[in-house]
Amino acid sequence: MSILYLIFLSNQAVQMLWVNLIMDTLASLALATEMPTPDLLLRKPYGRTKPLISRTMMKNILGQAVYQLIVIFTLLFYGGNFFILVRFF
Amino acid sequence: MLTGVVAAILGDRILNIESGRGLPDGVIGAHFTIIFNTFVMMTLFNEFNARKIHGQRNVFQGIHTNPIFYSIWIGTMLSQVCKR
Repeated sequence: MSILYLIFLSNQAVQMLWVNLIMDTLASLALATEMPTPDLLLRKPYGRTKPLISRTMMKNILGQAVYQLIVIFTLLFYGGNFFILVRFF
Repeated sequence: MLTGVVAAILGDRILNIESGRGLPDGVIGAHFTIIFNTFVMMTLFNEFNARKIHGQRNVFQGIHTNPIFYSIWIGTMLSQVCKR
């Protein structure tokens, strides 16, 4: 999603740097430091030939990607019609 | 769902913006700022979903046990919102 955003939408260097350098590295750092929980011992072992990205993961990834694409593209192409509201600042 | 609420709140306050498409490189209008904000918010809330990958129901379970995670999350959110 970040890559798609950067390729197609970002036309400013600060946005690119913010998304790619700061947010993605910090997010991977945050997710990589998750502590294992006792529930992990109850999980069945993975099969030897099972894919690295399981069916659930792929479902989550694709669902989230489709959702984000819909929101972004709606804002991109129809966004001008939505925001005819009150001005605060 | 959370993201939708955030986007609605952010979107409410802009009046009659012109389309940001077709602007020259390096020029950024209100339209693309909204899109950028929405994208970042969606990515941020997706970090919660990415914590649980085995189909658990509650993605927030044990969130307080990892100080690195939530401090990074809060820090990113703050620096995104407070950016000039």
